[in-house]
This record gives sequence, C-alpha cells and structure tokens, in this order.
Amino acid sequence: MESLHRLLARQISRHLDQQEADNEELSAFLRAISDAYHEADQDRNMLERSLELSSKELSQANSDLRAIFEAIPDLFFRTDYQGHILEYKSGSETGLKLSATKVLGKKLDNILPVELPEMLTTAIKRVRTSKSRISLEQSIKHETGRLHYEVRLLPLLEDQVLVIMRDITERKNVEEKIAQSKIRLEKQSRALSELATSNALHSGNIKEAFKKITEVAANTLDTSFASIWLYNKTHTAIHCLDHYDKAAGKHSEGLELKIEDFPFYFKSLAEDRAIAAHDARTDPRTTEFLDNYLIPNNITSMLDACFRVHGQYAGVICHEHTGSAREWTPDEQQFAASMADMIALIHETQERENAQRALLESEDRFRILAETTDSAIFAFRDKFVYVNPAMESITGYAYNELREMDLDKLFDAAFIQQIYSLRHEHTDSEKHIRQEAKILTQSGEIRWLFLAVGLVQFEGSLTCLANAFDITERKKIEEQLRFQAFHDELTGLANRALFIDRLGHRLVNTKRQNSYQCAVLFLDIDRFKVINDSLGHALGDELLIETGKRLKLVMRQIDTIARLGGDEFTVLLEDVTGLEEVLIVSERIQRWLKKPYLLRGHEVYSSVSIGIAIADASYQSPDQILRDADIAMYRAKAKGKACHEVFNPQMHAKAQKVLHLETNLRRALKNKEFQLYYQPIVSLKTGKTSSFEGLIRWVKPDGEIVSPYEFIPIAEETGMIIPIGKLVITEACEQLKKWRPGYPDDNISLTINLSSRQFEHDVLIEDIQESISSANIDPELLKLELTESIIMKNSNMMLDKLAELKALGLKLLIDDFGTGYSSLSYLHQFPIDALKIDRSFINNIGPNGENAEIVNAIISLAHNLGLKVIAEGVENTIHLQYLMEMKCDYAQGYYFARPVPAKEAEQFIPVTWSLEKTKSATSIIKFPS
Amino acid sequence: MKIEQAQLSANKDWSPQLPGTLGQSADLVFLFGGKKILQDQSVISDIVSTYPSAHLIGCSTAGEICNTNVYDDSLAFTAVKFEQTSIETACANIDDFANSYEAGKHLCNSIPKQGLVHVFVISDGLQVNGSELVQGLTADLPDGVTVTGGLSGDGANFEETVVVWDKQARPGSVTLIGFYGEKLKIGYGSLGGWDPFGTERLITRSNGNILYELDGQSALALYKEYLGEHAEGLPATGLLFPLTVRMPEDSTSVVRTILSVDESENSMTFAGDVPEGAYAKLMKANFSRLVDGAMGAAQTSYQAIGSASPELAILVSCVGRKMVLKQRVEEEVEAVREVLGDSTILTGFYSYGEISPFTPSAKCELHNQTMTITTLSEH
Repeated sequence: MESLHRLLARQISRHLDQQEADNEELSAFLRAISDAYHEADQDRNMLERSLELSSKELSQANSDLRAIFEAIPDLFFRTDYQGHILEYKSGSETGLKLSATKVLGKKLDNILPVELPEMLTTAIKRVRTSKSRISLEQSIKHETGRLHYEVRLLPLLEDQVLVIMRDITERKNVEEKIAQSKIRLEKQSRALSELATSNALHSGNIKEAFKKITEVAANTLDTSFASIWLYNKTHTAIHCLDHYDKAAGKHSEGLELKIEDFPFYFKSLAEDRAIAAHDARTDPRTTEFLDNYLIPNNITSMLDACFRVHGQYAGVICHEHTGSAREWTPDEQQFAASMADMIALIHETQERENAQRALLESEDRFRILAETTDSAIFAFRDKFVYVNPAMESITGYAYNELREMDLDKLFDAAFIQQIYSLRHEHTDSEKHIRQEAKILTQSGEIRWLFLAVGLVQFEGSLTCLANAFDITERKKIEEQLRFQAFHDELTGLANRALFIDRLGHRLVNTKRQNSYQCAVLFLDIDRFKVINDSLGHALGDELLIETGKRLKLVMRQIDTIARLGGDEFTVLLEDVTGLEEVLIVSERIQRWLKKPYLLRGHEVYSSVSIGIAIADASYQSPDQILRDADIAMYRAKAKGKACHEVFNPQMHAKAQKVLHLETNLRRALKNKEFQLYYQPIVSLKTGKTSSFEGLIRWVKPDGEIVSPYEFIPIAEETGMIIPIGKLVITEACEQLKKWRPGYPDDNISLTINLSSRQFEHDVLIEDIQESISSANIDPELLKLELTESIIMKNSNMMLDKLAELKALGLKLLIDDFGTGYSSLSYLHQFPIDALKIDRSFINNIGPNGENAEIVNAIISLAHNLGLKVIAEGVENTIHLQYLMEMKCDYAQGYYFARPVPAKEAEQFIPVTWSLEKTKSATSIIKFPS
Repeated sequence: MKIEQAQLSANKDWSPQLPGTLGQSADLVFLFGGKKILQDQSVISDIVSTYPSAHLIGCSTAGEICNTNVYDDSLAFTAVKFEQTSIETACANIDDFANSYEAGKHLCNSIPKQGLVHVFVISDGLQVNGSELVQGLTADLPDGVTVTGGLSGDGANFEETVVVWDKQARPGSVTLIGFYGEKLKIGYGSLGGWDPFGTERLITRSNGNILYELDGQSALALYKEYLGEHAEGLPATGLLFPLTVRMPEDSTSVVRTILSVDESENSMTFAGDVPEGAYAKLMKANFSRLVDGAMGAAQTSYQAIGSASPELAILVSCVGRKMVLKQRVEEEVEAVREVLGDSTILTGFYSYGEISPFTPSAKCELHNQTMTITTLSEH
C-alpha cells in the first residue's frame, strides 16, 4: 500500500488531532483521498512529461519544416483580404527579388510589376468568397522576355490568404518549343504519308519517284534545294539522279562527285549516317564544298542523310538551305533520315520487282519442265499438294485421287518413317534425303522409285518436295544379279558362296546353342565324267539339272542345296538330331539318285558318293566343314562309290598325308629324283633280250627308293602324273638313243606305261612327238602300255587318240590284261599290237594253279587276232615252261631280272637267256585236247 | 419488456436474491462478469435452472456495469422478457475460420434476415481482429440493420477472455443476438472524449492490427519514452495513450487501443487495424471530455428512439477510460444515467473494443476508448 500522500499528511498534521486521524473510519476515508492525490500527481506528471516530449518533437518538426520551406524556390506571401502583405518569403528563382523589409505591411499594388497586382486582387476576392484554393497562370513582361508564373492561393484562417508563386518560364518555353516541333512533325508526317500513298512512288518509274521525293523534301523542310545521289558500283563517285531547285521549280540530273575529291565529307557521311551542318561554311564536314558550291549557290546550311540498301551505303539525300544559317532540329534530321529510308525502300522495291519478274519466268520454265519430264515431281505434307503428270503415270492415280490419299497407302513403311524423321527431326544442315522406296500403284503392282526429298517452304508451310524416277527395271536386274551371285546358273541351286555363307551362320548358331546341330553332305556323282564324255556335255548338264531337282524333292525346305561346280553338290541339313538322322537322309538321297534318268531318250543310270561332316562347335570356319565333308566323300569314292562315309579325324590325317606327298612329289620332280629302271623282256623263241619295260623309281636324296605303288595313285589324283609321265617319255626316248650306237642290230625297244589321266591329256601326242624327234629314234622302238580301263571307255575320243598314236608309228600294248572287264570280243576293234597278261594269272599257273587254261585261251585268242603276248611276273622255271608250251611270245619277271638302272640293264642287251630247263619240263603240262 | 437485474459478488452473494419476477418467462439473460466467476459452472447451472427458457449471452470484462455501479470480478445479471420481440442467437469459434472476416460473415448468415431489426455482438477480445470481424458481420446485412456490441475483456491482464453462449463460457468465441420485431426501437451512440496531441506520425510499418514503426522509428520505443516509469505496466498502461488513426484519403479518424506488446518482435498489437500509410497521433485523456463523451453517446442513442426513456441500455465502455478515470469511473455511468433518466435499466461492461457506428447514419466500425451505448425499447 502506498504511503499517505505527503501533502495530505501535512494537511492532516496541520488540521487534525492525531487521535482523530487514527480513527478507523476517518483513516479509510483519508486513504481514499490520499490515493486520489497520488492519482492526480501521476496524471500531472504524465501530462507534464507528455507536454515536454511533444513540445520538443513539435519544435524539431517546426524547424525541419522551416528548412524545407526555405529550400523551396517558390515565392510566398501571406496577405489579408485587402492585399496587405503580412508575411513574405522571396523566391530564389522567381526573378522577383524583393527585400522583406520593403514588402511587409505594403499593399500588393505598390510593389509588384503592373500585371500581377490586378490578377492577385481578383484572385484574393475569389478565395474570400469560395474559401477554397485557386491556382492560375500569369505571364508578365520582363527585360529578358516574358516571365511565366504559376500562382496558387490558399485560404488561411483569420481572413488571410497564402499566395505561392512559381516561376514556370522555362517550362513554358519548352512547351512552346514542343508545340512548334509538333507542328513541324505534323507537316513532316503529312509529307511522309503523302509520299507513301503517292502514285509516283509506285508507278515503277523510279525517276518520277525521285522527283516527287525531292519536291516533298524541299517543301517540307523549306530548303532551296533537295537532291538525291547514288553511289556508282565501284563506290568511287556519287551520281546525281535528281536535283530540285525549289525557287525555279526545276529538276536537273547528271552531276557527278568523285569520292576522292571530298574525302572528309564522305567519311563523315559514312560514320554519322546524317550530316546536319548548321553552318555549312565552317562545318569541317562540309567546307570541302565551300568555294565551288556553297558560295556560288549562296548555301549556308546543309542536311544530308545517306541510305543503305542490303546493308551497303547506296546513296545520299541532300537538303540545302540558302540565306541565313539555320539550325536543323532533331525532328528535321529525323525527317531527312526518313526520306533516306524511303529512297532505300523504293530502291529495294524496284530490285525486288525485278527479281519477282525473273522468278515468275523461272517458275514458268520449271512448270513446263515438271509437266514434261519423265521424272516424277511431287510435293506433300500430310497429303499430296502437287504432283506432275509423270507421277500420275507412274502411280496410275490421277492428282485428284492422290490428293485425298494417305501417304502410307502409296509408299512403304520405311519411307514413311524416313519422311516423318525428315519433317520432325531434321536439322538445318540435313534437310534432304535420298532414298529408294516401294510404291503400290493403282493397278496393285509394286514399283521401285528412287527419291530425292527436300524440305521447302511451299504455300507458307514446311513441305516435302520430291523428285523421283522409276527404278523398277534396274531393281529387277539387281535382284537377278544378286540371285546369280549366289546361285548356280545351271541348276538354280545355291552356289558355293551362298552355301558357305549359310553354313557360316549355322556355325554361329552351333556355337551359341549347344543343342543345335547341323550336317554337311558332300555329294559327287559317280562316273560323271564317263557319262559326260560318252553322252556329251549337254546330256551331262541335264543330268546335273535333274540331280538338283531330285535333291530338292527329297530335302526339306529349310535345307540348303548347293552345286559347288562340276558334279559336286552339297546339302546343309539344318537342325538335325544326330548322326542317325543324317544317315537316313543320306540313304534317302542315294536311293532317289540311283533311279534311272531319262535324258534325251537315253536311260542313264547314276549314283552318288556322299561325304558327311557333322558341324560342331569345334569348327572355326565353314570352309573346314566343307573340306571335311569333301574328304569323307573321297573316302566314299575310294570305298567303291555309291555309298556314304562319315568324316572322322583320321581321314583328315590321311588327306594331309596325301597333301604332304604331293608337295614332296613336286620337289622330287624339280630335283630330278625320278629315275627309270629297266626290266628286260625276253623273247621265248630266241632267248634274247627283246626289249625293256621302263619303270619309274623315286630315289630320295638319302638313297631310299619309293615304289611307284606308293606315289603313282597320288600323282594320278593330283595331276602330277602329267609332268611325271612326260619325264618318263623323254627319259625313255633318250635311253633308246643312248643304246642305239652300241647295239645297232639288236632293235632293242622300250615299253612305258600310260595312265588314263595321261592318256586323256591333250598334250600327250605333242609330248611324245617332241621326245621322239628330239632323240631322233625310230618311233617303232617306243611302245605304250595302256590299261584295260582306258580301252574300255570305248569313246570316240579314245579311238581317235589311239589312231593318232598308231599314226606316229608307235606300238600299243594292253597292260594287266585279264584284270578288267574288257571283252575279248571287242579287242579286234582297237589298233593293238600286243597284250600283257597280268601277273596274277601267271602266279597261279603251275601244277596246282587253275589259271593255265585261261592263260592258254588268252594266248590263243591273241594269236588268232594277230597280237603278240607278253607274260608278266615270271618268277620260276615252271612259269617259263608253261608259257613256252603255250607258245607265249615274250616273258618278263624276276626269273630273268628285277628292274635295274640303265647302266646295269645295258649289260642284258647282248645276253642270251638260258631257256633249257624249260625244255626238259615239257611233259608237265597237259592241255585238254 | 420486463427486466430484472441482480449482482453476484465475488463471494457468491446475490443481491438481490434470484429469481425475481421473471424466472421461467425470461427470453434473454445478459451476463457480464469476471472471468473466474463466469467459468464457475455451478453459477451458470443455477442460472440455467432458474431461467430455463432464456438465451444466456455475456462475456468476461474489465469491469461490470450494473446500474450506475462499476464492479470488478463480480457478475452483473440482467434478465429480459420481451413482449413483442423475438430473438435468435448464434455463436462461432474463431479457430474454425481462415480469418475474422469469414467468421463474422458466417455468423451473420447463420441467423434469419427476414424481420431482422438489429444485431448485438460480443466477441473474444484478444484472439479476434475486431475490424475484420465488423466488416464480415456487416457484409451481408440488410439495409438499415446495424451492429453494436463489444469485445470481451480480462481486467488489466490481457491474457484470456471468454464469451458466454449456450450455458458455457469459452475463449475464442464470437456470439451474436439478432432482434426481430417491428415494435422494438434501437438507439446507439458512441463517443470518445480523447484529445490528440503532438505531431502527426506516418505509419511506416504495420501488418493488420500489428504496429511496428511510426515515421520509421519503433512505435514501442516511442510509447516507452512517453510512459516513462509506467512503461513497465505495458500493455495496460498503453491505454493511457491511445492512437487516433487517419487514413490519408479519409478525413474521419478511428481510435485504436493497445492489446498486447511483443518485445521480441518490437511490435504492438492494437484492437483494430493500423494500416501502413495512415497517419497516427497520440491521444491524451481530457478528464471532463471523457465524461462529456459518455453523455454525448447517451444523447445520440436517446435521440434515435424518440422522446421517451429507453427501457434497457447496454453500455460498452473502453478499459482505457476506466484506467484513466480510476476512482471516478462511475461518473461517466452517472452521466449516462442523467441523460437517459432514472427509468432505464443500465447494464454493460468495460471492454477491449466497442462496436457501433458513431452516429445512426454512419458506417459500423470498431472503436476504442469510447463509451458505446445501445438502447432498447418496446414502447
């Protein structure tokens, strides 16, 4: 509780007894009074504090306001209604500077310039009645010109008026200038719009246009002259196209100014776009014209604006003022620039019109071209928007139909896709495509087009413009060529390239999927050569065609059948379950191909040998598979034809061995490792050496002698037999020549063997002839041994060849007689001189032998046919005895001598062989009578 | 119209004892009192059981007016039975709305408009933006119908106020009474009696009813300077210097009193908007003018209903006046009595904001620092 108020406490002590004051009721009452005293104190304190603070704030605000007031440039008066000035602040910038002491208390009339008091008095009256503010403008005469004031009057309390005057002279002057400029602008704008709509400018007559422009320019800017100049092409001079003299109302032209004569002027022109020379006679940009032009023509001011066409300075429009110099206002300079722009526009328009005309002509030419060309030309967006007659003719649709048609009705999907990409994803640099595409013509035919499509703006939209020609025929030829490249021409089957390609793909599959297996069958027609040679090539070809057809019949669609060449066919069996299935297929093929063919009236029998290779993942290339199938086929052939053989690695090894041997043979030939050994043939009548059989031996450098049984088959197979055979012939002839001088009377002859391959070879006759003449020997001394198989071919070719050999004077022998299937009955047809009975017959004659009778029969028959008989393989006296009894003519064998080198053989020439023992053995032979 | 009035002291003594003559027949009971007594459910329950047909409307106060007496922490009870008038009441919780405007609009639209003569509103005094609430309330009102009322108080504490409706006293509530009946005459008037002083200051930073800066300076610092040692009593002592706020385009001014201060934000929250760009002046109480103001308000409300004394007058006076008048607060109630005559029953409360047009022809606004009187008569 607050203590008793001090004033109240003093009052109590002064006016009340202490006892009275302690009275409870009075005490409570006094306390209420005390509280009221305290409250009053607080209120007063607060009030005093507020007063103090607020006074301070107000005086601060007051001084701030006064500072602002002083800073305001306006003039202030406070007057009463009678016009007495009660307060005054001079305006710092009003042009009315009056001392406050001279003004205060005076009436307005006495101190202000004459026009103001009258106005102010009236205005004060208005404020007095209306009690509202008034503002008005007033101008007064002054030594510097007219001064303008904005005057505001505000009613104040107590019948006073506040007058505020602001000097607005500057603003008024600006407004005046703006107003003048506005008038000029309107004039210029009218001039420009008059020009824009003027016929002269759009007549296409550029001269008339320029005349109009110079007139308008001179009139609008109020100059004496206006002229238009154009740069020449080399930019070395400007040429006046029109010069207008306003006073004379005359136009002239033709003046020319060289740039080099007025360098500063032209430089300035290029830099500033416009030259506004207020005083042209002193302006450095125009003083170059002073003596020759400005002074004679009384020109004082120049306003020249240049213009550009396509970004190049093209010329200038000149405005020239005479009389006293004038300022060119910004709007006038702008107008001059606008005139220059207009000239540029006219110039460009003229150029554009020329270009337009050229374009129209070009369009005309294009249209004629488009309508007459064979190339299709068309334009399309989502639909066709133009097609030429060639397009109509190629597609078979009229334009009306095409226009309604969706593009995908006509073009293939790939092309549609390409077009989509072109239209929606093209870049600025890639705006065309060249493409082949298929179309479906109205007649339902598919035709190929080669198209060049580009994006152009056509009728305001991005459009595809295409030019196309029909390449259907070319496509057909290409297709055919592509087919031919991969197919055998004769049979229409796949060729080697295609087969290898497919096989390659399957090999990849095999490597990728363990479960996938395929097989290659290598087919070779047995004895095709015989058929071809005997029945002719044409028939041979037909056989190949028929074989192909039959293969197609028996194989599945997915299997690839190819003809590799000659009589070789291959089959690729896709996705086979295993070897068993392959064998079944092979057998089926063989069964079908074994059936007789009826070709040109001949019933032809044929068979095939089949090599089989299963393609597994171990193969690296399709060629390897084919090679193995080929090897297996050879095995099948070797096994006796018309059968099949599955490749195994040993075959490959063997094949490699053959290859190795062949290489060695070549080397041997080159190194002259072949020699002829000679085995004497003894006459059973005289016991004398009648002749020798020349037998080839391969003597390796280390002295090892290789038997012909080992290498001749390989030589046959590889064709090495031809050079080896030739070597034999040459050697034989040379040997005969060597022996001849030592034994001139013995007529020793030499027999050599001819293989069938050698016999068929074209150069055989030539080689023999050459060797004989080179050695200069009697051809009768050279005897050729032919195998039965050669004879039995019985072809015309063979007969011709035999005749030729005979014609050379050679003797011909049939070697290994009895082993083949030669029919004795045919023998007489051939120009044969002798038979050599195969050693297998001779070996079996003797006491236990069963062949004596056969040999006897052969000998008898040969003799009957006038042929000599030679027995091979005579090894003992029993053989000799029998043969002598059978009256065999000659004998050859180990009984007499093994084949030996020439030197040793020569020793046999003079020898007379002992045939005695044979005589004593006469009785051992019994012939049925 | 029949009226009976009683007072429940802080010690729960009724004077006089209830019920009087009305009881069952009362239509409306006004309850203005201390927050504590209003939140005593037994008090409310007793009243409900005694006046079962009556709508209970009221609020916590910064002083209750009962006849010409002003009490604290008691309950001023006034039961009314209308003869030719009907009423509708409604209540809304401010938390259910995006802002005070929407709450006001919703409330006003939740009572029938047909035959509506007047709306009396009592709102939470701290959680509601009174200016927005008044705009919302008047947005859809029929022509000629206006709103009077006030914002509830919490002594000089400014912590939490409650509003009574539907047998309960809740914080955050706004409740209103709609009066219907051709015979009912309503008068209202509002006057302050405060003098502006010192310089006019531009409100340079504010947000709704939150004021940050005057003339680019902290408004709170200015108040503290003026209050001196009384600055400790903020926000209550802020009531000694209300603001008069003048919109630049509008010559009329409104008075704003301070509701709270936020030292961390260096801001002051007022009972109504203090928009940026408006001009504010500090105000100072002029003792005799406060009482004259109350008298003036009474005269305005009296003139509106004609020559006869009104039957009931609801006085809503500002807590700021009570703080200035202190022991002499009842003088302004007595001044009202002088104008309205002895036959008028006076009730009401000291508030955190008053709602009324200044004059019958003016727009309804939220006021501060005024005495606002609503008179009712069925004659």
